[in-house]
Amino acid sequence: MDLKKLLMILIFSGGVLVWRNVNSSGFGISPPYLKNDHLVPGSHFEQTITLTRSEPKEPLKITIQIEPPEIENWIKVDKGKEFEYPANLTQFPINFIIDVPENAAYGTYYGKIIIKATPIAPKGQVTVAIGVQAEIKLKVSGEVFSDFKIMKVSIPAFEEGWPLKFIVTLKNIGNVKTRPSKIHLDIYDNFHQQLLKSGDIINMSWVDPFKAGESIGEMKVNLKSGQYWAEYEIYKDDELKVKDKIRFNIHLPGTLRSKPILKRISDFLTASPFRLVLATFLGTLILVAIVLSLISYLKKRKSKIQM
Amino acid sequence: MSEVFKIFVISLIILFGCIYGGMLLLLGIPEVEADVATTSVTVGNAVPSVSNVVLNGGSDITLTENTATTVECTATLTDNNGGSDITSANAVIFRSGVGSSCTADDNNCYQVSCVLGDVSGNDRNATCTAQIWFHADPTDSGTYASENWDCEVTAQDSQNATGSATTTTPVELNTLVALDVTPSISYGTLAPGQTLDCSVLTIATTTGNTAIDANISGTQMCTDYPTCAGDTIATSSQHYATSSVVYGSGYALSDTPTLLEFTTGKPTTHPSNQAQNIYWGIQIPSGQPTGDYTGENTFTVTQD
Repeated sequence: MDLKKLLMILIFSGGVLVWRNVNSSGFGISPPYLKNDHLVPGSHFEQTITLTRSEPKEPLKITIQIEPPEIENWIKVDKGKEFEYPANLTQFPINFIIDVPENAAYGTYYGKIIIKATPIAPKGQVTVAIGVQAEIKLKVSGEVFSDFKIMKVSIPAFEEGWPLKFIVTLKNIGNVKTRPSKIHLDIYDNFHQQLLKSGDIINMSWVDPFKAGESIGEMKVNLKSGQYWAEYEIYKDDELKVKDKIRFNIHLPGTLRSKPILKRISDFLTASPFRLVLATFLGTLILVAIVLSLISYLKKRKSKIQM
Repeated sequence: MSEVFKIFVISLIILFGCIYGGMLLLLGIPEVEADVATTSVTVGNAVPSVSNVVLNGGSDITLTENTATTVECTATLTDNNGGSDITSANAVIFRSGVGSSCTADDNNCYQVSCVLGDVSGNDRNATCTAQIWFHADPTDSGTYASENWDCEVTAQDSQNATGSATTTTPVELNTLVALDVTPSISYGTLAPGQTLDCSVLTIATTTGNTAIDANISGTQMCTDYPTCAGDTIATSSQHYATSSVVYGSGYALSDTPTLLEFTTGKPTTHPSNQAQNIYWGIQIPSGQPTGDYTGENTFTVTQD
């Protein structure tokens, strides 16, 4: 290669960046779909898709593209279609909000969401961006669908005299509001040997369509403070959804909620005979001191008048 | 005055005595009785029981790309000898298809020990934490769509008696589509008219729990990217292939995403054992003005 040719290569070089980045960058989404098979015209439905990366050392620019235009207008993103994925977060949930138009025709609508992650600062000659595609499948029909998935069950601690509160945390996967139709409870003693009470809760509270929430019902139990077992059965219509057992605690009256200040002082002073005696003695001293002061004041006033 | 003081002190003593005496009457005078009875009883060991086993708070599990995610399983442990008799607990978090007796496997079976909470009567809470890897089997779709993830907690007491229970409200483990790729392509310094064969390597590693393919697209390269009002190199000047080949044997890059089938599958271990090599080449047109040209290529990942 002669000198002239070498010079030409240097002059017309198309790039000077020879930085080789041996690092890698990752990006992913979970779950990779937005789907619902039980929508009706006018339905409101929300689904979370979590963006994720294992080494969030710097922020990423996220752009979201939704296709086709026919359903693009139904779908909104809580963070907008362009936003920044902050550094230091390995998971970054975004919420897709779907509002099916009242005049939407029945049918299954397919599409895709492309979520693209680009470094804020370009890297090297050709920056490699990662996009991830989520599939859309939205079925719109006129069919009423009612079902739920139970997430967890709890009986919060309560005081003697209070009703037992049974909480079912559930995900309504239907297009109408829902609740368990019946909770059957068998309450046993601390040793799970003696059946103390048995009954049904039928007026559980409702959870809205496509939402996760608590369905709560109450039952009067009239049990003393202590630890108990509850065997429960959760029904949807005649279908037994879940059967299990759970522990719960009943406390003495006044132990779970804060009491008025006077009641708290009274409880403190009467907690032991010593405190009560001491308080009485001090109270008597104060009372006598006040009376003496009053007598002294009246005597002085009387002598002034006489003078 | 001294007489008044005497009367005051005497009155005070009488008043205090009356009040204290009255209170003793009201509260009752403590009584002490001698106890002469001798009793004996043998308390047998009660087997601990486990209830209210909840995995991940009842929510579906979402994993993190290329690393592990903390997932908790909680339970109430009960022992009729008192909560303090419970000495340890452990848990198995597993895909239902493999069962709770599974062999430890980061794809489907995690065996962990639990942290015990404070004693409350006969009860003691347990929190069992597992680090679930990105390649754990999904159950929301695909091969294991009919299954789910469960947690079985086993409690042990001071006499080594054990009791266990499994979640009655199992959860799904969501599919994670993820890719880890070399973040830039550097062609180095080239002369106008020079051709670089498809030899610049980018490694696309699957870092989720499902097999993937990618749609490849790109932009033109230019000296003022992303404006590209100045000198440019056409998008199609870049070629790519899944092996190192001469320029022209690969695929021409397009601004329209084009599917590239990966030959890789679902990762089954960490670090990921599924990596796809992609080789890049470029041809600089003759007469291309000098400058530093930059651009952006995109790998849009889809579930295979």
